[in-house]
Amino acid sequence: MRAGTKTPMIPICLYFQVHQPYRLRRYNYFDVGREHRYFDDARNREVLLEVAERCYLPATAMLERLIARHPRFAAAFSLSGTVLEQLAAWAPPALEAFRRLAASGRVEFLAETSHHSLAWLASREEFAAQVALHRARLSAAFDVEPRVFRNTELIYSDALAASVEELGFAGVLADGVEGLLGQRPPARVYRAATPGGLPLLVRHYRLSDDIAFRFSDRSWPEWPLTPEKYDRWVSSVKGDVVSLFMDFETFGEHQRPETGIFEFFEKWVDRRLSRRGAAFLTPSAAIDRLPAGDTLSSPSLMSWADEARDVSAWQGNDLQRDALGKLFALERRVRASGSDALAEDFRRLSTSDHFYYMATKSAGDDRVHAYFSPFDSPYDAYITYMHVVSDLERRLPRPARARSLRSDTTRPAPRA
Amino acid sequence: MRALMFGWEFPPYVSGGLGVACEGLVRGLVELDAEVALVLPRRSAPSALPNLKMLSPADDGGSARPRPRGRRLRVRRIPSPLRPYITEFLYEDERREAERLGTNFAGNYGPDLPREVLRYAGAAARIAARERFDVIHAHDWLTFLAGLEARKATGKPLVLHVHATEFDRAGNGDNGFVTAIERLGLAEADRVITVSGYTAELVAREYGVPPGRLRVVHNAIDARETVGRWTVEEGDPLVLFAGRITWQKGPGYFVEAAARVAAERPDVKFVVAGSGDRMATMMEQVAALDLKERFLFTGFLPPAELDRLYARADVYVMPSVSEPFGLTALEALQHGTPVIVSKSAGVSEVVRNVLRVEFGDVEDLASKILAVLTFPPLQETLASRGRAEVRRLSWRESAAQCLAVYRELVSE
Repeated sequence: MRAGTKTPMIPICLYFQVHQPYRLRRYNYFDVGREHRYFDDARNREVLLEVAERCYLPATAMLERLIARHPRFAAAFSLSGTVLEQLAAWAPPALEAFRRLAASGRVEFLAETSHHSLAWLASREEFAAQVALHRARLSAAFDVEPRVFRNTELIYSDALAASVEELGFAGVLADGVEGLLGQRPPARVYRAATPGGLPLLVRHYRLSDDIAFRFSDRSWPEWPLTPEKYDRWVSSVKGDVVSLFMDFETFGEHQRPETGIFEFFEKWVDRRLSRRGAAFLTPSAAIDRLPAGDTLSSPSLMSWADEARDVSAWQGNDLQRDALGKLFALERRVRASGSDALAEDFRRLSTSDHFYYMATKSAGDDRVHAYFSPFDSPYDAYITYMHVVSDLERRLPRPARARSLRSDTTRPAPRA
Repeated sequence: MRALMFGWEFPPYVSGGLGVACEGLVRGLVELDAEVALVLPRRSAPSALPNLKMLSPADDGGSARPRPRGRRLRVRRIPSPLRPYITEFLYEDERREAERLGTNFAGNYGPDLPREVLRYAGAAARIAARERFDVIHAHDWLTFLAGLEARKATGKPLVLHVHATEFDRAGNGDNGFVTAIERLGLAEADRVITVSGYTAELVAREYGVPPGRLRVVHNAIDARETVGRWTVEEGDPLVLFAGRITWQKGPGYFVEAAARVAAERPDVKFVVAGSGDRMATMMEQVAALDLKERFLFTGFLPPAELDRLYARADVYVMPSVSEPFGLTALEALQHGTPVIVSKSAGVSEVVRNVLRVEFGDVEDLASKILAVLTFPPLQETLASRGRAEVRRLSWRESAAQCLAVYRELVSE
């Protein structure tokens, strides 16, 4: 906190993640070599429509109201390429609502991998290709050029930040865990341990999870959370910016409408912005306007998932590592095939959710994994996935000299 | 706490979980300082009882040796040909055979199974009148009447323990007197314990037992030395079915899935360990599908040999139509063998590291067998996590839960 007489109103940086995977259909050993449709379109459509009804439509409407009422309100989204595609196919009104938010000029769209994938963990080349593909999809959907990058599930390390810097982004997001921050407060703009000192925004995980996880938990001593109480907590934070990052599905889906989540959030923003000096900043604005502090380093991989906040949610057991290894063993041959259809199936299979369903964790984390999983068990998730990958492999041409994929998917990202 | 228990012996040959469960519970109760008077049917030919003998130096209640455990466990025997899973037909066969051999079967025992069950109940009441105990505990329909008679004779509270019902064994409740005894017992009992939530639901639905009298105590398994996988010789991939070959166990589904697996993998072999009234049918089915070269039927095996098979098998399959618990799944897991069980099996309420299929979905079953044989990390993960999970179970814990049920009744 700077020396001064009165504590200034600390600005808020909101970022909401929007993502839906292409879930696999029931697919068994006997389908291999016979059935090349891998994804459960009916179920994926059904889930998307449900979530659109419960969350995307009412929650974007809430944000539109806030934007209309408050000139100082702003927020950021990251929409995965897979959810963009599903919205366009199955829920055009919801896509339209995101377009209106984009047109307001008050909402920033962040970059990520097109397929919300684990590509970073397996292949730099595929990672860069998916980032470029996501740029193309964002541009087509919203006519925007992203400046700030967030990796799948906030998977982060120094090496990731260096790659992001190299791809020309102006900033990157990570979770504000002690392993990264040490004793430093989360409420500042930092620099990543990269050659150019890439600006780094870290999530205030306690205040984010108060909304995203604990809001409706009646066993939480702070239940019920009121806008007044929450605003007191936010105001008491020392620093330059409070970064609240969460799934957009928090509104209406993870926290159902009857919990009062919508009323809570809208009233809190109203309350906050009724005071002089209060502001909401997009990640770009935060990076541009606030001074960047210390350099934070995380040589090892971290994320915002599970208690461990590392990559064990997707790569914590032999099944998950085997599955990712088996998929990426096909990468060169997929690229060499020159086939868009094969590349798209390959990429849909790189989506993090498939690996999340294979987690065999216990005590607490397993309930969260099971909540999201369409499978009876992590073993069913692995078996289905492996049969599908076996079929994908059979469809590939015999290994030969490498050719490149179509240029629009491998073109290096333009420097921002 | 003192219990009068109408139970079953640990079988010298594997013929189902009832004897194993009774032995585990009795040992757990005694370890927890409960006193158990265990009433068992005694067949004319003495059977090998290695595990119970360890606990029970005293026979026929006469002269208990001054061992602490011996005092906490008294065994009382009623001469009777009753044994787990006996049916009217088997009883009739055995009676005829005894007469042919000139033994005095009909003179001592009931002329048919219903009358033998009634006679056993009468003898049970006479034993109960001489014993001191706080609660009566009887296991499955063959002893339900004994439990009821003992309660009539002493006024002590009655716990009936359901390991399987006629709905599991036959798919319906139509078997006249068996179902009648089950209905009578379950309606009268002060508490009903089932071996799984699955069975609790069935008992509530089909027998109308109110939830207030219904408790679930899952079966368990105790840690023990197992056959090391490295000690058994390597060979072709082996898929194992073990247990009674009866309608309830879904042997037909096993053969149908095997045919699909065999078509994909010429190296895989199938072993069926056990016997039962569907064995001939199962063999005919194997022959009709031209799988004779791929199948081995061993008949009932002594436990040590079955252990070697568990250790040797690459996957253990339990495709039951209705399985109140399924103890053999725990035995296979204990040997580090991946397990595929039907979703209608109580055992999957206590272990998560198993594969599950809808009973009758033979394509999914075959696909999962092939997945285990095809993907080594799957086999290794199921083996190591399954084994670790089973290590956390113990009969002592199940016995402690039975004791809690006794205390509810004694304090009432």
